[in-house]
Amino acid sequence: MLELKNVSAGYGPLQILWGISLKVDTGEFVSLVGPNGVGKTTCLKTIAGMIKITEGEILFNGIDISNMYVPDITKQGLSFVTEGGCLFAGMTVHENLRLGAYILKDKKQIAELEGFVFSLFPRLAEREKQLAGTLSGGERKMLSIARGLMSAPKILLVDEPSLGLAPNLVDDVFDTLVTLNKEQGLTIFLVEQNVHTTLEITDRTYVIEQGRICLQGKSGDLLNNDHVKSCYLGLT
Amino acid sequence: MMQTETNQNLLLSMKKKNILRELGFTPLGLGLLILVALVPLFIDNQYYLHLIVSSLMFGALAMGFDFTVGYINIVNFGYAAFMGVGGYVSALLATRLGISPWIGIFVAAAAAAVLGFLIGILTLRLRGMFAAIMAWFVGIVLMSLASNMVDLTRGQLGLNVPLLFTGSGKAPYIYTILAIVILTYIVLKRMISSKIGLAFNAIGQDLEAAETSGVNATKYKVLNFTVSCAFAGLIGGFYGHFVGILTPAVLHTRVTVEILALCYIGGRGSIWGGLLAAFLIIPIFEFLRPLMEIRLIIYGLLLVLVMIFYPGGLAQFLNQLAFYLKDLMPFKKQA
Amino acid sequence: MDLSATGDILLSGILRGGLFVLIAMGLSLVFGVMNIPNFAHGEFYMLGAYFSYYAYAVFGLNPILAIMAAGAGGFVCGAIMERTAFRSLRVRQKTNWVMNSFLLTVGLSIVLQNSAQALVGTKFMGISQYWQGSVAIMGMNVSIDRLAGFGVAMATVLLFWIFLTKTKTGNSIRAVSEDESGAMLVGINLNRVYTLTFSIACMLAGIAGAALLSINPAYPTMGLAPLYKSWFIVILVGMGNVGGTIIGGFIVGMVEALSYYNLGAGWQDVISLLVIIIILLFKPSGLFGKDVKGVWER
Repeated sequence: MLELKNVSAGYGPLQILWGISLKVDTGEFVSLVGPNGVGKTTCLKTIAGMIKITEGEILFNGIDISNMYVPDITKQGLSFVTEGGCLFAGMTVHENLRLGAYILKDKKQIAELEGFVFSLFPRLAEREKQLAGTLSGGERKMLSIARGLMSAPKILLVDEPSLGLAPNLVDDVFDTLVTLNKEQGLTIFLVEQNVHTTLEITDRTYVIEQGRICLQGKSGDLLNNDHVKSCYLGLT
Repeated sequence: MMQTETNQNLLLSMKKKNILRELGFTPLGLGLLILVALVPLFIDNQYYLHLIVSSLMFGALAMGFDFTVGYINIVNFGYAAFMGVGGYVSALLATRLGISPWIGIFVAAAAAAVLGFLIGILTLRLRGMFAAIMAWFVGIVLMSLASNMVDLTRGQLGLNVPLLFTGSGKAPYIYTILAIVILTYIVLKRMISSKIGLAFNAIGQDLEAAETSGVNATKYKVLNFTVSCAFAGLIGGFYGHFVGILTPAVLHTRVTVEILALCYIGGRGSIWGGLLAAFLIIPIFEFLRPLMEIRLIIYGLLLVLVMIFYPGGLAQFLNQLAFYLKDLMPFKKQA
Repeated sequence: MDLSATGDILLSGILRGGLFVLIAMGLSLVFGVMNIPNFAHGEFYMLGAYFSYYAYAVFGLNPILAIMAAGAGGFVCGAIMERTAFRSLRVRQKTNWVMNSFLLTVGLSIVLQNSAQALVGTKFMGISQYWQGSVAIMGMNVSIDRLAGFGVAMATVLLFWIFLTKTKTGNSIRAVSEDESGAMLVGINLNRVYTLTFSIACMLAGIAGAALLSINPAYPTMGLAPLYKSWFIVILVGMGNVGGTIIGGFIVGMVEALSYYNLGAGWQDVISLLVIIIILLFKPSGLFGKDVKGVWER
């Protein structure tokens, strides 16, 4: 479904990604892990169209989305949940969700999606009329994922959902992602720092270091990989 | 031993050449100013001489404006009002208290400086845009006061101002305003090249970074603003004694807009750009008078185009031209 | 102060305030969504006055249609301005946006004022009235025109408010003012929102200019007063707070009415400024501004 071929990108003269190649097939739950500041977020931003590609191409369901305008990429069925959420703080939970469904026209579909999202995150349903800026950190994460789902995406890109969350909430978020993938069949591409849990819940994983993919494979296999164990799992 | 002697001689000769450079004058710039000074010796036409005085006045105003806009990045949108206040102060001192205009204009500068200082303290702590808008409001209110305090200013009827020189010749005015222009330029340039100027630049480019480096932003902003307003007052004082009459219209936003346009078209941050722009635009506009509003439309379009396509203005254009020409020069001076 | 004077001031303040709300809204909208401090806002008010004059006095349309024509004219002019000038600036100059766009609007203001003057001259173009007659309210004689102008302003504000909060497009505009990245990510085309926003703001200004044509005739430089009064309101309320302008407009209207009554004509700007300074001293982000850190540079 999603394929990156030798993608290089960065911020002006500062190059972050060096020839990244990866792919996510329909229905898969794939993750990208690695140390801080090596390009994980940059990778997602590049796919979503927020950063210009200098080399290579990105294909989504066969369509070349390299350097496409961000809203058009969303219209293709790709939904990016950023780490900060980019929520509309001065608008209510309900309004945020409705805007999440901006590209959809069918009112029934939108209402159904909202119902689905509320069933997934009952806390949000309680706070439907509340301003997004007044929500707690965990609720904001929930809302950002919920809003990302409202466009009925074919693939969900999620950037470090566990960052800044209390541990019990982290489990909830990961459980939700697993549910979405296994029960709803949603393709998910996850970027995370929490390597252990990520390797446990995903199908395949890519490891990025210094802007390059250095390891890839089935998540289960990588759990036993020596490099991964010493660098990311704290085991020798 | 011979080595040190040669080096010392070298240093001495370099020092001599550089006094002018230290004052901020390039040979070309100085040459042009001397040219202007020589004009009255050859040209008798009072109309042309009047134009030169106007160009110098507005050029100086543009320089003072650029000092704030180009360095601490704040648009003093009420600038004309400070000029107007200077004008009225000097005029009233002359008509009510009989004080000589030569003293009056400096008192006017001080008055404008005090006003600038007060307004600076009140508004410069606000974000750049806010400060600009507040300065604008102050300008509007000052104009309003000038209109309403009829007992003092004669309001819309206009205040008659004693002239600086007797006789109808404009030549003495040229020399006076030229002296003011040179004074303005030297003072502004010296401040900019000093540590104070570094602080200005830092504040203008990145306020937070400047403050974390220990720069007291508000202090420097207020200093800059005050100095800029002082020159506005000085020139305003001169203006009154040159034109002979003052009306509240002198403080109008429109006038600030003209000064602003000259500054930007000339090249924000260059200081001398505004003076050059004034010399080009003011005479040309006079000669385009038959075109009436169209010339002002061109003026506005010019500002728009400069903002979109060439924000460095004339100064940027000329600097690039100078570099280009230098590259073409086969001769290279020996260091 | 006796009761009839209070009634006078109240009525005058409300009628004035209503129009101020309409004019200030567009300004606040453009700053809140596009981050442009629009110095040419008054010129669209002026264009609206001219459009309605031509529609009513020259082409003989009825008052409501004339006012709507003014709104439509403002909308179209705004769209052209945005597509040509601001989009070019957005593409070419990414740094110092607020200051640069402000200066661009200054240039635009010069061009618009003088174009109007070049096309139709400086003569005042006014009408004696849209609607005949007057009504007695609280012992004061108020012309139907003034009441109608107020009514038009309030109706427009209401319609605009409903548009902004209840429609999908309106919500997309609000979204862009809240978080541009978020707006892009949900599929909103930013350029289209910018053009639409600017066009609506100019439309609102145009309607305001048209609404009181019989009281304020059209002339090329008429935009300055509506401009700085809108700015008074926007600063008072807190920049970018569109809802707050509703209250702010009435406050400034009331301040002006009080000033006229007590000090006579000509002092209202001084008083308005004093009020603003005092309020800003206590609440630097404006009456309803939330962005305190953004206002004070510490």
